Amino acid sequence: MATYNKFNQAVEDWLHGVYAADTDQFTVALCAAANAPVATNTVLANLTEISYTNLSSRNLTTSTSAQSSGTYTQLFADLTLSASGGAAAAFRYVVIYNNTPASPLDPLLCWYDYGSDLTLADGESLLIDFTTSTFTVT
Amino acid sequence: MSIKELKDKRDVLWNELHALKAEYDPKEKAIRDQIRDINNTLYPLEMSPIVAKLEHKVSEGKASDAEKQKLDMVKAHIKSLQAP
Repeated sequence: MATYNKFNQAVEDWLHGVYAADTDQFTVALCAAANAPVATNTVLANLTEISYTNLSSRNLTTSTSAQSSGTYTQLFADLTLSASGGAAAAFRYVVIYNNTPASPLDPLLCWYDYGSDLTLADGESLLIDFTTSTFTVT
Repeated sequence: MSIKELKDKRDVLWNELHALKAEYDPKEKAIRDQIRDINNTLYPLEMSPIVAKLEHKVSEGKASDAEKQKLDMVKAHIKSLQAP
């Protein structure tokens, strides 16, 4: 199971109005084992991404963005990444960033560490299962 | 600048900000409302194969507690999206 990690700047971005979490475009970025994100990264430009040749869409669908009893939960629909036309580049880290804001550009939300590089051969898929919540604020 | 001058300048800027948002916010809201509607339509469609897979596992007695919880949550959310 992948390990969830938060980017420190994300909580400030939320409260400073950078996010409109229910309708912003959230996108997955992928990084290889040699290019690990760190909690102090703030925007996509801080990361080294893999090449996305042969890889399916990385856009996420927001399903839940609401509070209940004072706890806010954001949840995305599970995303299936598929390789087609050839293998996809190896990646270990699945990063989620907000593709909508222009300033800051592409702020980072969180990342998942799969522990080692994953490879998708032509025709193979990876299901990114967000279980029951991606991000909560209490 | 004195305290009063600074506050006066801030008031002017706030008024400019309010005017900008008065012009921009309704347009943004109209677009976001459409995006939200699309997301609410997309979610059941995108999760359909996952629901089917989880229901199959439950029927075979092979689903973990976490998978059962996820299935319940997803089905409840889809039901809420379809409520009038």
